[in-house]
Amino acid sequence: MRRFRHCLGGLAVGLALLVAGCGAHGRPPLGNPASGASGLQCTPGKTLADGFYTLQNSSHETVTVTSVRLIGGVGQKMTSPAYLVPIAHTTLIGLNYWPVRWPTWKDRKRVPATIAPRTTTNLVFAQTRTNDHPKSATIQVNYSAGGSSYTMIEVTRVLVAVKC
Amino acid sequence: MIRRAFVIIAAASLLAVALAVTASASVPSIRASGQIAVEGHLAGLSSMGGVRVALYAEPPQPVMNKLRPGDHVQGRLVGVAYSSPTGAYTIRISHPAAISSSAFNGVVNFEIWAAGHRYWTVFGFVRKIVAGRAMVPLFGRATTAPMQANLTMSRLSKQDARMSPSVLGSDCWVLADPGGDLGPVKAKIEGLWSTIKGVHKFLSYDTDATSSVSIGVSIDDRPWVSGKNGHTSVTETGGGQDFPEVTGKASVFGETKMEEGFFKTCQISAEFATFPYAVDGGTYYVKTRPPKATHCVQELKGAKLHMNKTESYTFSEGIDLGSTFGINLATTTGYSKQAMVTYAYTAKGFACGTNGYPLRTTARGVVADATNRGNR
Repeated sequence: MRRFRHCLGGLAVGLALLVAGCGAHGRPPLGNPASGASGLQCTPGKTLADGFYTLQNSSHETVTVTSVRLIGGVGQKMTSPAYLVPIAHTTLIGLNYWPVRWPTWKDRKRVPATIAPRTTTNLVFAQTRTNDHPKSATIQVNYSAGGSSYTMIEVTRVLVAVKC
Repeated sequence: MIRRAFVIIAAASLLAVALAVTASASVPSIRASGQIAVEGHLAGLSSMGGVRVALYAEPPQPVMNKLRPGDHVQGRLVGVAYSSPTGAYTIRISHPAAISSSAFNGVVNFEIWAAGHRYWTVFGFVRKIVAGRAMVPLFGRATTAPMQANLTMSRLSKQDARMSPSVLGSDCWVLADPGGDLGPVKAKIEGLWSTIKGVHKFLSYDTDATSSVSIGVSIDDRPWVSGKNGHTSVTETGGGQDFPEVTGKASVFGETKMEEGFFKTCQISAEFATFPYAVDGGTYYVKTRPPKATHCVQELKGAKLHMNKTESYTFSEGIDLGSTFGINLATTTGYSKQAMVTYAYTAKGFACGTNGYPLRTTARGVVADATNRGNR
């Protein structure tokens, strides 16, 4: 798991001050990606809805997700905006058909979007396989909360494959 | 016989997963006689000097695995020392053959027995023999330094103390007491479940991976956990066991099980120590009801969910010997290398975590479920 945190406008100050002066000590609002439970979700297809990830705001502050990138995957491409979709009945969309047909899809918010305190949301976007020998990808989520900005990279990887 | 609950020793039974091993590993040569095997200090008693501290090698795992109530087995004496007035002791290897004959796949389980002045304690640890002669810990840095074991002694009761002189000198091990106070206890660890017919589940381990089962003990609200946090303070704990590869298993309802037996050991007193005599992990499946799993992710036909895990999970209540000892035990287990659990969806369904979404830190286990009700 890799995680970065930096202060807005922090380039002019030293690293120690960057960390200490952010005012956002301790656990990041969206937490640390699963450090001991890495893995891979593989689903056959061409373009699928990637709704495997959750964003859990465990803080008392509103989180603003500013951008989401698909990284580290060869032959994998994000082909839609990212959306925050409410979770119904503790069930995630997962790797699913695109376009999405899901009860809460109509309530989606397009990134940039906010996550209320103590709320978990389902991150969803279209993931397209662009060749026959793709490699798995993961997500980088950039967000801000309480005057600090954060970058979170998930350890769990997702692959849209010809065959799993 | 059990007037009070006390000791759980050798709490980590380490399962050596040697996929490439075809049993009958050659017995390596061992350190030369006279080399230091264990050193440390005693604590917990007022008169430190003259306590007999003996190091035994347990029988090889194939022997231990087959023990059942009523069986007796002899540990082999490796060396003996007597503590100094300050409580320091150093055990040198007097009988190297005791080690070599106790090795299985290079893994040797040791027990330290210390007794004197109406106090006693026992502690287990494991070493792996590498490069022909050296003994190193199973985990962590491959140091050949002697085992450091600082032992906290427990006081014998009056009745025990009366008995002890006759038994302290005996090097016997009486395992699997015929009285059967405990007998084998099974803990369910690491479950793979599916309510969807056709979902295949695989549990596989890397070559040379090891797994452990540790027993945490709480007595009178004091945590007694084996190892450095335990009443007997040492730097590591463990016992070794060959652990076969399990892969390609498939069942509608399946749950791997580990089996642990708790038996009386020696003889020092009417009180006794217990330790798991065997852990059989992932060797077989049993039909069982899937646990409650409420956090689900949709899975399409043809999907695979790979879960790399450094921890496997206990869905049962662990080992509960409360009725016997008046104590509660909990089991956890971990892998030194990653184990991988794979669910292959040959039909559309859901992957449901027991207390979190799959592949999240809070997800303890996964049930392949036909619905998003997740066995609710």
